[in-house]
Amino acid sequence: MNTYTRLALLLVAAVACLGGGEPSSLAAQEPGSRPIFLAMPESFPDLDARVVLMREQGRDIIVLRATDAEPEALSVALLVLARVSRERPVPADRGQMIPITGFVPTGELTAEKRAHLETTLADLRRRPMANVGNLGLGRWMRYRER
Amino acid sequence: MSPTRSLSMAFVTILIAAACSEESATWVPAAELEVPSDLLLTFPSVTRETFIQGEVIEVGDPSRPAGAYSEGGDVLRDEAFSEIVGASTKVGFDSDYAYSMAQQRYTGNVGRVHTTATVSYDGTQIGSQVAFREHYVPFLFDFGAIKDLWVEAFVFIDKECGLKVDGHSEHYARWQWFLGGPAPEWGTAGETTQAFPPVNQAACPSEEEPDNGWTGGGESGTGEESGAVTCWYWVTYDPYTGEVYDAQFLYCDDVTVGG
Repeated sequence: MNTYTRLALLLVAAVACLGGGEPSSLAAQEPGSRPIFLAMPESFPDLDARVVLMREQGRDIIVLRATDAEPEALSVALLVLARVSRERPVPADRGQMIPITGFVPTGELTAEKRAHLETTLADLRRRPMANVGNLGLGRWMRYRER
Repeated sequence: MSPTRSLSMAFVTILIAAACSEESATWVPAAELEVPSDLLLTFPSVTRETFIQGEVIEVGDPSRPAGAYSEGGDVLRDEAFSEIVGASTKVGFDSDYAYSMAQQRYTGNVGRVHTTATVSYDGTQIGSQVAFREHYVPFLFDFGAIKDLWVEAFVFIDKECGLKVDGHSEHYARWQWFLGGPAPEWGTAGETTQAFPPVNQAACPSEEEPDNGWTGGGESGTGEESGAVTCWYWVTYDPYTGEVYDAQFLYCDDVTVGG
């Protein structure tokens, strides 16, 4: 292979890299398949909310209270997130924030779901301390469905 | 090709491959990280006050403002104190909202009323909405008129059973030389009222209990899905600066899987 062929191959690789490496593959996903991040700041915002949802281009974020991060809270957050994702797309230039002020479960979580959510929350609590944006110190991780 | 050039080419190839394999910080699967990594996030600048519905009405023109009016306009009073009479709070449901309405009759050139509508389900408070209205008449033009002032706090609902709305209010009246700043004020009167009794929607029929995986009690662990009655606000903001564009009223509804 001569030098020009190698250069051409490198150029093709570079172009492919620039085109395919953006998170646009995530941003263009259907509601429900967007990545969901869980955040648990040490200091929860001064809001009348048990949990806060944030929806931005290409991702959703669930901000949990450290003192109220229970399977029910996470379950309700996921339910509301799924619903608003179906009903309202996220505009390109705007974020959406949904402070959930309270909830009452109308039944009980299944054992399997509860176990999954408890494992997720335990995992979140084990995360190393980092900056959660402008909320300051806290823990965060990507949520994974069962 | 010289050995130096081949090495350079290989180095560039490795660099490109490394660049291709890496995602921006936000998209790194955090579960695989062993070292702390920051989450890129701009939380909007919201506080509890962001969600209060309120307005201050300064009456500089003779037209009567919404939510406040003077009765007669020729009622003169001798005392230097402001007074509140007939303060009350009422709550109820309309077709698509719950409300708490506070009203008061007062003397003084500044009247202010706060009311809070609180929505509960099954004995648990799930949301509350605060509203206030302040009415100011320039001191020199008031002449001790008796005025009425009212305000309503709304909670939008999309549920026809099982909710309860309660309400309480704080009523104020005072004399103030001018509005804002450290202006001299005197004769402040204050009162609180509570809606009584609270208003309940009809009880939910038993068939409304979810059959979608929430067990509905008594059969824990046998269902597959979940549901809840919940309330939330809706805020739109600039994801880069955190500036809030809009904050909507509180909304309460059922959420269930697929519903």
